[in-house]
Amino acid sequence: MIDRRILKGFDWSFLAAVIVLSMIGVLTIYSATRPLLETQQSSFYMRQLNWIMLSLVVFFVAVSIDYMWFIRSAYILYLIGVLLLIVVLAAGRTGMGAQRWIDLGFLSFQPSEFFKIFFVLTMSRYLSRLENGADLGIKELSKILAGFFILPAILILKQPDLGTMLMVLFIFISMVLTYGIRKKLFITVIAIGLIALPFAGKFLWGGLKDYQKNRIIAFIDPQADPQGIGYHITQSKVSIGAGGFLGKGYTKGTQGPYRFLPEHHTDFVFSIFAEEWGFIGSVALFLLYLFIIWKGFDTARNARDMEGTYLALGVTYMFTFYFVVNIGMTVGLMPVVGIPLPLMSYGGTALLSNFIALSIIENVRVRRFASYY
Amino acid sequence: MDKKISVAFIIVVSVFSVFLLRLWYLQIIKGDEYKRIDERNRIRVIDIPAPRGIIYDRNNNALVKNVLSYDISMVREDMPREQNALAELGGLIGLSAEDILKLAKSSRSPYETVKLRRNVSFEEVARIEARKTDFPGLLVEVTSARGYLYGQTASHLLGYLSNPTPKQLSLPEFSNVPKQAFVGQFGIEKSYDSILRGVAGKKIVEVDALGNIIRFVRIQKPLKGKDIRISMDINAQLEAERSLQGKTGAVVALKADTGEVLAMASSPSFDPNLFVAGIEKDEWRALIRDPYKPLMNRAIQNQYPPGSTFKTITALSALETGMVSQKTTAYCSGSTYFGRTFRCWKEGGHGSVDTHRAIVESCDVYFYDIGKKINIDTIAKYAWAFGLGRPTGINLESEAPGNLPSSKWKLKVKKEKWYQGETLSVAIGQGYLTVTPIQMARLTAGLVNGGRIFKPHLLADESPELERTIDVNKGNLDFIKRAMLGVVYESGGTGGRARSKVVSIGGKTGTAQVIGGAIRGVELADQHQDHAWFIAYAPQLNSQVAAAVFVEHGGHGGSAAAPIAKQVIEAYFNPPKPESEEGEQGDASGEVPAQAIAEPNQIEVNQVNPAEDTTSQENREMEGD
Repeated sequence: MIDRRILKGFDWSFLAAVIVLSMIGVLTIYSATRPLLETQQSSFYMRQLNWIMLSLVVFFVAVSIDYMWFIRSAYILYLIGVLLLIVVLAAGRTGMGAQRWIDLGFLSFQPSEFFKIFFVLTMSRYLSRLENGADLGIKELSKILAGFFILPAILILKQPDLGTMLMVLFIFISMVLTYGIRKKLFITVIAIGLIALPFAGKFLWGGLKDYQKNRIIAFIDPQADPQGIGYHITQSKVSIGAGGFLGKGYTKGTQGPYRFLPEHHTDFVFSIFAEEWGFIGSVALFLLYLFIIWKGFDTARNARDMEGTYLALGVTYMFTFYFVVNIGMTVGLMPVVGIPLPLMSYGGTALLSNFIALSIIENVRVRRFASYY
Repeated sequence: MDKKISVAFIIVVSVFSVFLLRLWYLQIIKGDEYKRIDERNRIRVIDIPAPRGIIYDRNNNALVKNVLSYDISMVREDMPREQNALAELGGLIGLSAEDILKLAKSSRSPYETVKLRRNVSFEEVARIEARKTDFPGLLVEVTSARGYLYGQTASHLLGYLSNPTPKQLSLPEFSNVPKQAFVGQFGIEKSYDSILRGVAGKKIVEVDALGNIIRFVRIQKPLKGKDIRISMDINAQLEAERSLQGKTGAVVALKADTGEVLAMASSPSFDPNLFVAGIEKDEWRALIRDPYKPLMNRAIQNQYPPGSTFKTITALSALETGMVSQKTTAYCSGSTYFGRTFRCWKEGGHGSVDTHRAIVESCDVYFYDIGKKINIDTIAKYAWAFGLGRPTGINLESEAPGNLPSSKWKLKVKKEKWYQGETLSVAIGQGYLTVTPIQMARLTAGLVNGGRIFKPHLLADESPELERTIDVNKGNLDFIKRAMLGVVYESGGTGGRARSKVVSIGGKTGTAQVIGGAIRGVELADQHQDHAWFIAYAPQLNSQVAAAVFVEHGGHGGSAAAPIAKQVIEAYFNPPKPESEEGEQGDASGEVPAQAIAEPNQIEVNQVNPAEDTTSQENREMEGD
């Protein structure tokens, strides 16, 4: 059933990079959660490994389906996604101060994780089929905003899930900018934004939850509340810094198992990696991520059609934002936003959604030469 | 489109470069600093307190012990958040929820253990241990504390401990002392702290964020402090404290031929055990504000006129300078005139008295007569030689010097020349002259040991430190000594209440006049009463003990102070039989009593009136000046 061309065009190096990063993630989770006083190793790494297996299966299945099928189903998937966001608000499970999970009994998942992908599909379909190809004016921009962005953005903020909301916003802005926006409009938006920022800032600040305010305060001055969020940032920097040039060595890190660094196997998994593998290991890790991103852009450039280009770009942007926001947070360059490091952080839904997203790049990539047939 | 993708990729690469620079900064430039913070995170140095040296009395009775003290503490992060649970925890450990919150706020980090209560009783510990699982993170910590076996007894002598003060911690000799260690802050505990303290050990451990010990890195064992044996005799001390019970005053007993301190009591006293686990603010305030000043060591700090006890020195000065002989008599009509009328304490007068009887009956007129002629500086010379006017140099803090007036002193301090009339007051131990009990005990020792003045010392194994040997006629000294025996044993002597069946005791009574209330702002029933003095020695031959008793507002020396001296001396020579361990006790104290008890009958035959036994003591209550 699988087309032989697909097998021939399949980019194994891309998948290999994805798998290697996931495995580094498992190893780091193992080290971060290794027991000190107890003898029992916690099962986080094992569960993550199971999720990788499942994600790989999904990856191959998704690649085997022509991405045009996804483009065609984009609007339906988008509607399903919005519906799920409503369901989660109405009947979702609350955890860590936000209502993000839908509990199906045998597993629970975050609909917003998958909504991002549906959003990329929708934007790709819409942008690739805009007729004249001219830069966007105010009218078109308003239409896209109203049609695709505003409702889900409000729903996600309601949970609240500031991280995902920012993700969707970034994807929206970057895809619109890639498509092209009229210079005059671009300058106007920036100008209005700059003027409105102090007022909007005040309004937005008032709308933030206390823990979100704390995160921003802590980012500006980690010493202000060194025991709260500032403590996370400080301990993350300590973990990374203590790694030095060569690192402490695998399973020699202390910040995680000794529980000085909270969230050590989820959002702050990079800090643990950097502590054990040092600057050298971190550079190698960054190169692996950059390789995947480069493959994404390369796929977009060489895609069979505009749909493929926008799909590959959207997914690459999403993946990049994840990486940048997470690393920016762990190295203390950006405020704490609860965003996992793609492929490495512990967490099944995020892992699966990342594999599906990356499968779209592979999907576009294997079909790049299809025009020859 | 391709151009835009290239721009996007360039932006991505730029962001990566910024991240790499940031990693370079964190891991290479700041790496060492973060490695230190990382170590500080998990490496804890736990001080192991060194067991403090034990203090024994001269007969090897332990006076203090090191006991285990149980402290309750909790990691702040583990404390219950809800009011109910907090109140329940409070109920278990005996604190209110507000108290716990207040203590919690004092910690710097959420993972720091907060001491909730110190020195909890063993019963409470058992109760808390039983329910510990309900409050994860609740800890019972065991530390070493000091127990004072005799409670308030000798509290001023032994002193007390507390955590080192910030000022002490900045001193080089405290550089090895951990902040939560206990160091001597008063008395012997302070004076000999460097011997008793030992060297604290260290336990270097790795802990996790919750303070759980993960691994021992290194252990450095503590060095126990050295034990010391002090010269104090617990039996004499106990008797001194018991006799002073309910009174304000002090007792000092010295070994006459070495200067060893056999007993030093000051009343009211305090309980050094209060300081063991850190004294409560209220208790400390109560001690500080008590008008009777229980923290003051009256034995070395009280400065009062010596009263008639000083007549011993006046008499010696007059004898030495040839002003009077042992046979010189004077007639006491009850008063004499020198610019004004000077009254004898005995209204009807003593009649004709010689030097011996003048001392025995404490006749003021006889000494006024000396005071009319003698140069104040002659008295000052002998008084100085016997150690007045300066601290004795005992190794205890804040010893008072007393005041020894002389013509030079008057010019310097009062900017006036000395008037002979003032010499009359000094001759009977009044006026500008002030002394401390320990000075009087040392003076007494000098009178009975052949004029040797020792620096009083506290350690049993220290060799005596002879300050000077006074160049006086031995015959004159013996004469004074015999007169002092007469004070106790002769008919008409003022110190009959000191008469003992156990050992021959000589002494001299004294009554210091009170001018105005002694304690400002507090109306005390007895504050206009005179102060009672008694100096004593025992036995008559080879005198071993010299003592001074002072009772503030006690009234007459003969009635208030002399019995105390007798009881303390008896307790030293004839200690109460302990219920057990007879062999050891008997051995230790056996060196003295056998010969001492025998003595009164042997040598005092010619001095003591056999007819007057204890029954006649009532007649001798009267005394004074």
